[in-house]
Amino acid sequence: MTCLAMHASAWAVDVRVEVKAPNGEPIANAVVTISGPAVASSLRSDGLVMQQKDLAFSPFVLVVPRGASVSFPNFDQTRHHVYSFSPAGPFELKLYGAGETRSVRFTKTGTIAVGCNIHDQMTAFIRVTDAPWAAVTDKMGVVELRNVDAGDRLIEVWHPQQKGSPDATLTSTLAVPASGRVSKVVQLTVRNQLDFHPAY
Amino acid sequence: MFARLRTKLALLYGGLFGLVMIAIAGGVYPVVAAGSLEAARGQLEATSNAFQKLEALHMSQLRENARISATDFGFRSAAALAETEPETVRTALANLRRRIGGDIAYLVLPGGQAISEREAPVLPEHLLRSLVAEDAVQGGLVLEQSAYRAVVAPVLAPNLIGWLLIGARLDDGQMKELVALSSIPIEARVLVSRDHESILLARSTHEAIGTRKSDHDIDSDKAITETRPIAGLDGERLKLQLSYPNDAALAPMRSLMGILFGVGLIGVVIFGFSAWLLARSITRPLAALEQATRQMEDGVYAQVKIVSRDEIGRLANSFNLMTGAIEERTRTITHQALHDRDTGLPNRDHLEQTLQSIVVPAGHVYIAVFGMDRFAEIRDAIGYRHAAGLLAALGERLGRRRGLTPPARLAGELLGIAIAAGSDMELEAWLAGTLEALEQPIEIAGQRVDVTAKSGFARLSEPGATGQNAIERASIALDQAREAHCKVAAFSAELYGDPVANLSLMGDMLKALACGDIYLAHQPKLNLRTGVFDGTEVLVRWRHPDRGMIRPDVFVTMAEETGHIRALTEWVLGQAIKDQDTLAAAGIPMRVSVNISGRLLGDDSFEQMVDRMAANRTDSICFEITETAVMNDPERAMTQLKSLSERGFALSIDDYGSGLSSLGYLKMIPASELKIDRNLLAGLKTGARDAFLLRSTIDLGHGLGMKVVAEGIEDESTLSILQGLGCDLAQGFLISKPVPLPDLIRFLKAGAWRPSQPLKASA
Repeated sequence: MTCLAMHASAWAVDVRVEVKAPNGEPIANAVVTISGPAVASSLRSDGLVMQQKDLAFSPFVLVVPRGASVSFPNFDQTRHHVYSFSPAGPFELKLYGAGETRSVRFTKTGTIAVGCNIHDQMTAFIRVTDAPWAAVTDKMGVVELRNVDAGDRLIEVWHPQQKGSPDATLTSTLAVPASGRVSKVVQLTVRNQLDFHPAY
Repeated sequence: MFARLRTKLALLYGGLFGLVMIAIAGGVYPVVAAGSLEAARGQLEATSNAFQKLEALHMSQLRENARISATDFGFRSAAALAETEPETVRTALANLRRRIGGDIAYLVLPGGQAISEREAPVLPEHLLRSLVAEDAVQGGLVLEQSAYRAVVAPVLAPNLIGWLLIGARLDDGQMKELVALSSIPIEARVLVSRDHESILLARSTHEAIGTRKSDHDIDSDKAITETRPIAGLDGERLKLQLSYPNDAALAPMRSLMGILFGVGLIGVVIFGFSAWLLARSITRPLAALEQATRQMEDGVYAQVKIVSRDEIGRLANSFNLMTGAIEERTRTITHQALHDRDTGLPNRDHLEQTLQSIVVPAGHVYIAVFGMDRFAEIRDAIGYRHAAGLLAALGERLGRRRGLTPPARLAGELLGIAIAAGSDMELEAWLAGTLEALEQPIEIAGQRVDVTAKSGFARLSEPGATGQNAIERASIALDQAREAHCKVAAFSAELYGDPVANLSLMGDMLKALACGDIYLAHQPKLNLRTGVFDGTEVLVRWRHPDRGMIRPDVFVTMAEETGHIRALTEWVLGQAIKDQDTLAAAGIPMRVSVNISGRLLGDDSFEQMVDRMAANRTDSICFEITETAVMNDPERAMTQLKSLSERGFALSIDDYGSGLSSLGYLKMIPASELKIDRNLLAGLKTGARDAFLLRSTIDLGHGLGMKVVAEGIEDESTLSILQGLGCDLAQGFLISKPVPLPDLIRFLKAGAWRPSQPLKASA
């Protein structure tokens, strides 16, 4: 981590990526990763939380480095049965009550679709990645990736509702300068979210 | 065309009713047919709507099942193993399918692969693409000639890991259930349209699945159809077709038509029969009238039964009145024809008719005719009316004598009746009694009349006898009774002769005149004073080829009675003139005497005949006539005789003394000769009275300036006596019988006749 901080001051710049739909609307919950050669991950590997509150997972999309543990605290008055059938890391946390928490370590990269077996409307996605820089777009569809090392980098964008394979990413390259700021706009087509919601 | 009125009327009314029924049927048919079809169409539509609702219900149930299944945790956990453990997914799909009672279940992965039970039909490629493109949600599906309703539900775990497709077969059972909803037996089919063809997938009928029909066949007009498209899951053009055959739809209408037809038929029969009855009620009385008319032709006056008070009844009544009137009139006419108007008695025709029908068991049937004596005098005395009353009274008396028939007035005073009697004797006794009854005095108009009568009779029951000729014979018998002055006489054929043969004899006579069978015989007259024959009397003779010599009195009398005497006389005169010429040519000129019938005297045609034939020899022809001939019509006869005499013809009075001799007539007849009848010579030799009478007669003739001729002299003594009495001329067998002309000529040429004693030179 010290190394990262050191680089950030001398050879790194902040990268701003904006994800938009073709019609210009911002797309939130998109995971933007920038990968580079042999650079240590700048992502936190501890304190990662996917909480259950008000019969919903929060956050909806969480990006974590490979090998990190994610805790699933239950803040509701009901029990939850959290599971995932995703090949990258299937798990099942059988009913546990309010105030209890469970942790799962994800050792493979990929997408973990998370649901609650007794509350179908509860859905969340955990993106497990090896990339050194990664973040989830906010409501404005924007991520700010800090202290990205200069050089030619690969930018990948993933979204739970993207067309095509659920694990596929929209990939592009980005020349990161040694100083200054970098901004990039990525266009992404997503399905209507309603079509996928279990409330369907 | 039809001779019978009832047939005509029955056909007319039956036919009219039939036409009306046909018109009604024609009017009702389209309406009812349209109604039937419309009702069927309504049923189809209702069933179609029901299908749609049921289908929507099924679909939503299926969809709900699919959704629940797709979100089942166990299933989702199995589905998540699709790539690594497809067998698990297959069994999970089978389990799910059984659980929800579906027929097919598939899991389609986002990559387009489909996982299903091994024996399940393969999903078509384009369907898989549609699923992945998330275009297909629910709808009809066709797999291997089966139709399914199918729904697609996403499998979220919790992200989309694939699609669950489950379906239930739209099979024949459902079609049958659908059909059962309808109140009419419709047919239901599920078809899929491909390339202008419809392939049968399910049906309520027994058609083969997979049958292809062109769209044209589907929409044929043999059936009412209602077609509803079923939305396809993947653009398949499925449809439900409900149909109802026109035949079935029109069946109620057909039964209605059948009823109409039946009613029509019954109506036609009833109408026809009624018309027939009506016509019969008309034609029966008419036929009765016709028959009565026919009977009237035959003289049977039948009354027609009056069965109604309508025109026909009135006609029958009029007919009866007419029949009665005609019958009455006919009876009157018949009565008049068969009865005598004056006396009211039946007439001769009546008697003849009655005779035709009488039957007599035994014995003989006779006709008796009664005649009153002196009826003409009585009639003149009491008048015709009372004479008729007298006859009627006699008829009544005769009627009481119980003949076989009522007495009939035959003619004049003749009454006839038929009687049965065992023999002529028995009949004569009956007739005697009857005459006695008839001759009882009769009171006519307050006066007593004495009647005498006579009767003649003839047998009716005899071969060849008819009523008519029996009556004739009886009448003749009456005449014969009168002639014989007896009360009763039977018919005598001998006395009567044979009138039919006589008639044919006259025909023969005319032929004989032409052919020479009739000839003249001459009997010379000897002059007793000179001893020479100075005349000859011609006498007609007839030698009949079959019957031999026919006596002159027979055929001359007959010629007189039948009007042939003039022709005979003409021939005799002509022949006499020819013979006179022959005699003259032979050197014997001689006066010829010709007998003239009294019938010809007074006849102008006779005088003309004489003028024509003998005008040039008036002095050599003598006409011999009898006194009685003159007496018939003395005035005319006398006038003619005078005329002939004045012309120079000699006249001779023939047969003087045989009948009633009248000196008055003798005086008036301008004759030059008097011929004494041979009867006066009969007693000459024996009685002085006869000699005296003869002498007186000869003297009378001489006194009146006539020469006297004696005829029928058969012996010399008579001749000599006559000569002594001063008779001038003589004729007779002693001198010469009548001989044909050649014999006469030979006789005369042989020399003068010589009596055994010489005639005295004078007397």
